Amino acid sequence: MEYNLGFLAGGILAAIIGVIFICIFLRYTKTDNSTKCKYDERQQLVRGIGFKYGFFTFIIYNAAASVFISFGEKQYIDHDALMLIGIFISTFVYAAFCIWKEGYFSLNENPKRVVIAFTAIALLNFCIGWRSYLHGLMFENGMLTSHCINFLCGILIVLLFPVMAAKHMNKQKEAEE
Amino acid sequence: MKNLRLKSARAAKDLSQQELASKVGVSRQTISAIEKGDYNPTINLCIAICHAVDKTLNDLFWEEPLE
Repeated sequence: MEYNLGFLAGGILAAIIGVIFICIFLRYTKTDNSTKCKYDERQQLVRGIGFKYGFFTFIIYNAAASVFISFGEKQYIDHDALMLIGIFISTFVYAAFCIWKEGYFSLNENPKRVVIAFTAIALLNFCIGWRSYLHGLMFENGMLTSHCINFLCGILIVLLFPVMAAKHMNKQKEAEE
Repeated sequence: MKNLRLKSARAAKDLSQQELASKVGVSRQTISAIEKGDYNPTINLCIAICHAVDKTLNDLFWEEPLE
């Protein structure tokens, strides 16, 4: 009973801290002190196409994962972790597409501040992921578990940085031409 | 197809892409995409752009049908 109450209190506290952090992130990255992202019509269109590609990526991934589960002799990843990896891959496809088509950063967003905030979030997630690894939670019986979520989140953000850098260089090249 | 008429109208008003974008409430990349012919704007955006550069829809966006 006491354990459950403690667990519940911890969960509520974590949720409150999470909401506070999200509000700080949203305010910090905006140029007009609002928390809402404003996109123009082209950006909304790009984001819609990005969602479509992300969705289809998730469907294809799930089909491939089900084959992997059905026919694989030894499982290296548990079902929860397999699902999480699919979510992160499709999120990456969506975000990378939007970054490349210049629909990721809203009109009232400061890209430099977003990169700084993303770096902080990635580091935080790597720290939590490292802690899970050290406590032996990330791998159980030789299988990757859902405790890899923070590590995956960190990897996702780190993988987006080269896309942003490539896009930035591409824009500079276009401006020179 | 590139929209050179928009580009020249913007230049005639001495506006940069960023300045025109701020005037009509879109990103600089959207103006760039319209000028390059990579994006077809909605009629609302076309009208906003026309007001910003003091031109008509015909001046900037009308194209004669190909024979």
